[in-house]
Amino acid sequence: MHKRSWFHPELKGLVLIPAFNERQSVGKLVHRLRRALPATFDILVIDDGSTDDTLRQVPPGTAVVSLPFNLGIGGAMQTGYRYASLHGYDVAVQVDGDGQHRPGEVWRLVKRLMESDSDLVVGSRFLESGRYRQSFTRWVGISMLGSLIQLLSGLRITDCTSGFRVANRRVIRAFAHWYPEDYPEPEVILLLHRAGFKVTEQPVRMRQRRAGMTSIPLTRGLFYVLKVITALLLDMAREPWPRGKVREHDPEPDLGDLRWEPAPAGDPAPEAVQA
Amino acid sequence: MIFGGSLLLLAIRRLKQFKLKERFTLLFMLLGLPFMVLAVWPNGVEYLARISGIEQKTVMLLCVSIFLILIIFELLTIVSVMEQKITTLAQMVGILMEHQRLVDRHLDGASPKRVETRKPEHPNSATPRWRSGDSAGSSSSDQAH
Repeated sequence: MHKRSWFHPELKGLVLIPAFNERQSVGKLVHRLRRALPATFDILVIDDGSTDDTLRQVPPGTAVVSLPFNLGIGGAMQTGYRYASLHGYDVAVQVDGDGQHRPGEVWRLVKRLMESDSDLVVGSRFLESGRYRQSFTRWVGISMLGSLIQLLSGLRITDCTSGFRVANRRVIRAFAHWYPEDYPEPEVILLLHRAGFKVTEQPVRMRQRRAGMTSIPLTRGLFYVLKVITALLLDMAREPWPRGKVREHDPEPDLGDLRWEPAPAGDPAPEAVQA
Repeated sequence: MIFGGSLLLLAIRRLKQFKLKERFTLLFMLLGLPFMVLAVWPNGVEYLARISGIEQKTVMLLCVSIFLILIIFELLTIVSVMEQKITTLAQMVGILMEHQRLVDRHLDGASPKRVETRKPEHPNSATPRWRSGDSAGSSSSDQAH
């Protein structure tokens, strides 16, 4: 069913779902993703110190990284990329825990990543016009940030705050090494572009939000835009990646102290079995 | 006099209680000593101002505040690095716990005796045991209320 010309049957993919108090949507989302994806794709839920029973809503057999306390969206996402890097995944898909992103669209993103020479593919709501209803203020904010990114780097991204994205191995390793903290989505695009990675966009359809709370309430929209603008400008002052900078023709960024390889999942060392 | 003395005493006390690192104690000693000196010799401020060519004494105050701001800046740098380290630790703890859970499950599956004793109705095998134990504990305490 999923075997297409671009699809490599051994392509190991990991879907990252950051969840902070998303009890109503996370279970359904995992089930839908399972149906939409082949067996070589694993799902990882990152429970960012939820205070409700989000953890119990995750269907059995799904990998869950449960953080001991709330790290925020940046910290949670980086946990996912660290996991993907340590377990040697080829592709990491970032999907919001609120069920806003359609599992069926994951394939279009992965396909785009494999077919093009991009390192990161961002799913955009705005490339296909008229599909997604958006409040005017939010649209203004997002296009302002997009314009700023274009001004600073020359890269045109229509939906820079979209959390629906697919990363290849190089980007996974770079993210495992360093990832911005507070509102990482727009920052990451700028940083990756400056570090010589190729970032492209793919039009996707998204659902309107149903349950849970958006991580950026409208009332704080202005504050958000101002903060991101400051962060983007500050990012221009420093190197895109700390230590072991990731260059264009550098297949393996220096991971420093992260060189730790766990035993393959479900296959512990023989002496451990005897004990 | 009292202020300078207590600053010194406080620093040494904290050092004794292992609450303050040696190098920070040293910093505090350096901060406290001038106060002691000034307490013994109150006109020292004027003298210092004169030899350094400062005409208004408030400028001396400005110098002190610049020094304090630098210390705060240094402290915030330390806090930022610490925060980064704590984040990395939390992430690794989460990942390792997930890995441990997989290994545990595999070991449970490997020994048939344990499979029998294990509750088959375990609601969510994806839940780390400590977490399910936690919630079981909290629910029983809820009942107690």
